[in-house]
Amino acid sequence: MDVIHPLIQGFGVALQPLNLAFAFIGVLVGTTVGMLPGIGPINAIAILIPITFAAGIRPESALILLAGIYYGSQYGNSISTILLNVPGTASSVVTALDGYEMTKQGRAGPALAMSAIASFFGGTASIFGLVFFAPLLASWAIRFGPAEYFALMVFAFAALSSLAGNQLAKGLIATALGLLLGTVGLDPQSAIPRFTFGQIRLFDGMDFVVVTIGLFAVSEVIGVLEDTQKGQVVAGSVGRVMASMKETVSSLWTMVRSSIIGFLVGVLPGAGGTIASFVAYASEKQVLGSKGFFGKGDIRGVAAPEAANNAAATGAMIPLLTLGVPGSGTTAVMLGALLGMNVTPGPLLIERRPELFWGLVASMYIGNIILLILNLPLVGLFIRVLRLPRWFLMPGVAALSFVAVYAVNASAFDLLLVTGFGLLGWVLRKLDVPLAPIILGVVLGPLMEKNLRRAMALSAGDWTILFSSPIAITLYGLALLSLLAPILAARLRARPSLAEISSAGEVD
Amino acid sequence: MREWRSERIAGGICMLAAVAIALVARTFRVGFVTDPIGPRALPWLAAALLGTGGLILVLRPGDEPDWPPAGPTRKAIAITLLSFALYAVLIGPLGFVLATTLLMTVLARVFGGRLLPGLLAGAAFSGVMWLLFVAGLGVPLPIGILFTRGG
Repeated sequence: MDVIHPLIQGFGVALQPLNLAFAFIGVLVGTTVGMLPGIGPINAIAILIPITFAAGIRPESALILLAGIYYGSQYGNSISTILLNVPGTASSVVTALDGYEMTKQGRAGPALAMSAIASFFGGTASIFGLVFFAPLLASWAIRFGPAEYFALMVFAFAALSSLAGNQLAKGLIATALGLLLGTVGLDPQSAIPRFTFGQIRLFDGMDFVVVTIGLFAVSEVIGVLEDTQKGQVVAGSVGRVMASMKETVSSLWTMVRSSIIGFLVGVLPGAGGTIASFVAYASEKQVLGSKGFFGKGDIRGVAAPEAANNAAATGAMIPLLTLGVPGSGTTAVMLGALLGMNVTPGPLLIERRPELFWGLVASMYIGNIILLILNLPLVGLFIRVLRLPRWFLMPGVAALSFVAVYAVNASAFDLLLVTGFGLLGWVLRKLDVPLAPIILGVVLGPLMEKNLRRAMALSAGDWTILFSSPIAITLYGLALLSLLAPILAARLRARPSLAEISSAGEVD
Repeated sequence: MREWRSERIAGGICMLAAVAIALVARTFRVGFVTDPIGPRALPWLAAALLGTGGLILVLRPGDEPDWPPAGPTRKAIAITLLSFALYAVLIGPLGFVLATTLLMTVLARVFGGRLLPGLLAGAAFSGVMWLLFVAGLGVPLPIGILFTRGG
């Protein structure tokens, strides 16, 4: 397979001044929001989508920007984790173990530097995987019919619901809520209104941007408000952000192994950066054995999860782009953005929109280099952002969220909706119901229904078509397995810590 | 052990909602045959998932979440939600800049800031956003009926 030629063309796209600027803005915004409480990549992407639509940005440029935020946020996340022991998202929980320990020992500088180096390593090494696996998966998925797509989506929901929350019931409820929100509006096939309560304003359906910003951003503002009443942690100063040659060399194989693990886990739906960082950390602990002092400030305990979660972010782009089936809340929002720009991710994407796929790949190389250059000398600047008072930051987050919602339909009604979703999101968080399956449901639900109904039309109403191909049966098997796995694991008490960590893992 | 735990109530609400949704979906009739299963199948499937999840929660509720205690926190949350709803109502008449300044001032107070800095930050932020979105990106934001009627 010839990948060199299209890759060169991809660099041609990525190196256009406008796209370079978008990659830069993306990773800068990503680093900032990854670090700050109350925003996170999913909110930043959701807020920017209506703006990219309104500004008429080309799809490949928009994707470069949104992807930059996505992988850039993994970097920023580690800054607040290492310095404050406040992991912005669950994928950094493991980094805190050794990272914050190093800060307490006065070695915050090397820890931050190693997290930047490992993130760069994981982020760039995994792009090779993307270059080779994505076309391969696409050529395989080209044979998928509606029945196989339906099965694949069932698998994506099952994997996300079972891994994102620690209870099956709550995963089911979240998935159902998402699917139902996705059906609101005129049914595209029969044109009858569903769940609109006679409101013409709902005929176009619930925009996923409104749902996402409500459930994540607005509810987070309320959540931070609750924490503020308990007081804010303030970052201290950091020395030189440098890792010694010896530390870097000693972490090299850790980064290689963790990047491979992270990439493979990232490709799986539902798993994402959280599981990737946990598995990488646990396996490094095994591999190094007595040579490591994990949990007591071992720099490799920072390198492993950071390389893994950045590799996972790249891996997650594969199912998104080649199958059109995202595996997490954040990639679901990116799918929504692509669909809104009339780009349909799927097996034909690489062939039909090479500038988009290869441009993104090339921009990810460039973006990771920008991140490394930004992060090593500029950490001090980012820390200053971290010290901004909450009374200044949170009203700004709220106002930005409302502007983005208003920009979708220029409707004040949407502002009321988003407030309602904010309250709902806060209550669901309190009840430990995962939010990511809801977003997946809103974005993927209509596609899932379309494939189901198309399959049933092909078979003239015979339900057995859904279970007629080996690919579909395998996918249902995997779905069942992922739903039952946490229950079995709990029975065996094999790895309670995995369940603990993944219970917080709704955003990555 | 308390009998009415939050999760049990949430599960009950889910089950009731599932029944209501299934009943509403029954009315999704199409006069002509578009496809064999029609627009009802997916809502029914989702209602079944919702009902099942709700039933499990009712039977086996988890630990009580840490709801904010009555007092300043609850009051702050109520004020925040109220200010969001008021913002939705007022953005048309007052226009984006004025409504956003007001919202941000109230929120700054809620988040423990002082009145004047909050007002200044809100005014500056909404002004910058107006320039950025309306002049820079061409996103239409409401000017405000109060300002357009006189001119």
